[in-house]
Amino acid sequence: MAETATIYRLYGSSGAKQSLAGIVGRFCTQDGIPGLNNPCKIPASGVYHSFWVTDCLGITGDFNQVRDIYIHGDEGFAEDWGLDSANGGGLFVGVKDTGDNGLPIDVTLHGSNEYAQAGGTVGTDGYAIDNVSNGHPAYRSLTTKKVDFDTCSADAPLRIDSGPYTDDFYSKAWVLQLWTVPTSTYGAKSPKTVIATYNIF
Amino acid sequence: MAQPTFRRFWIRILPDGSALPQFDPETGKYCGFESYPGQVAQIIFMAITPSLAEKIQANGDRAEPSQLPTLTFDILPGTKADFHRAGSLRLEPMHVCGFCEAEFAPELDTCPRCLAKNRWYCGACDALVENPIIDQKARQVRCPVCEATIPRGLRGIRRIGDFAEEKHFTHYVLTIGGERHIILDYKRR
Repeated sequence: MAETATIYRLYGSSGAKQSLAGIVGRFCTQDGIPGLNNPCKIPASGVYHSFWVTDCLGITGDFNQVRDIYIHGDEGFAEDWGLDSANGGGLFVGVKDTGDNGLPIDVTLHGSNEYAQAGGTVGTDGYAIDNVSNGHPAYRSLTTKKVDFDTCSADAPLRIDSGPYTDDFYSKAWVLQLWTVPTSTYGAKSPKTVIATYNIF
Repeated sequence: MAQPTFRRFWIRILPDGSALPQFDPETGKYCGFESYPGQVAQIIFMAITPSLAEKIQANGDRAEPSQLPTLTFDILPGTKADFHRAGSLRLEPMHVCGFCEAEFAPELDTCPRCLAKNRWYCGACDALVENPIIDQKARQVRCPVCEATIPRGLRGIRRIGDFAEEKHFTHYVLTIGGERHIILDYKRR
């Protein structure tokens, strides 16, 4: 059989994987599938952050090799969601200084496990990915730490995992976080799309 | 769990004239990987026929018949050729109707099959409200009729749900002597 692919979201202290098929992967201020609970808030001043989300690609099936896993969005997250990128709002993704930008999440597959459970004040504000003390341990001490996900387009996708994999696998994970500022707009947001691509040999 | 839907398949012709197809034409079994270590003389891309699509689906893969044109690529002896398939998995937001279970585009507020939509109900007026006051700062939805007397919140009646549908697209990338060819598995409109 040809390959079967699914995007998973990791939750909890151990990073339990939950398929995003059939549900909506919302940004919120809790660690877990939120439904409509604990939505992102607009701060009176400063910046509020969603709890960061950790997603990966899982592929099973018959193949010789899978490699070159990239992600990109359908662009315009900040504009379509009224996040006010000019004042610091936006959707951000964690990046490494060199090599794959993805987060190793499996010692056997990736050599290490750098998954970190999202945290913060439930219902209000998550820890910023790049916060030097309680940000994401895999990114907070790096030089760049994060980039605006709107820059990750179909023409310039973000490399998550160069692989290669020769058997069923979970890829390295990408970490996304929504930032809101006082001038961000309230209310339900229009649906947006994240796309994962890979080469199969 | 998303699988690619194949609308065309490849046949690899070896220098001795033998053929290695991506799907066995007799059984529909997926038997070919995109990479092949030996020399190849020709790669042919052919549309999936209705009978082959049935056989492929019987083996657990996804295929649909198409009328995509046949493409033939000759690989001269000694020419370096690389071949792989690219997969693209999209999480596409969708609406689902709570009445008739129709799935439809998120741009629509109303179910195109049964015309159901999310509504607001005012207990004081005992009526559905078409144009409620949405106060985002106060996080309230209020009745415009009651607003002049005693402002009253509305009850949401949710009939349209959200979910993400996995959509899987695939295409082939064939590089012959440094020249790159993208072979789509669908027809661009």
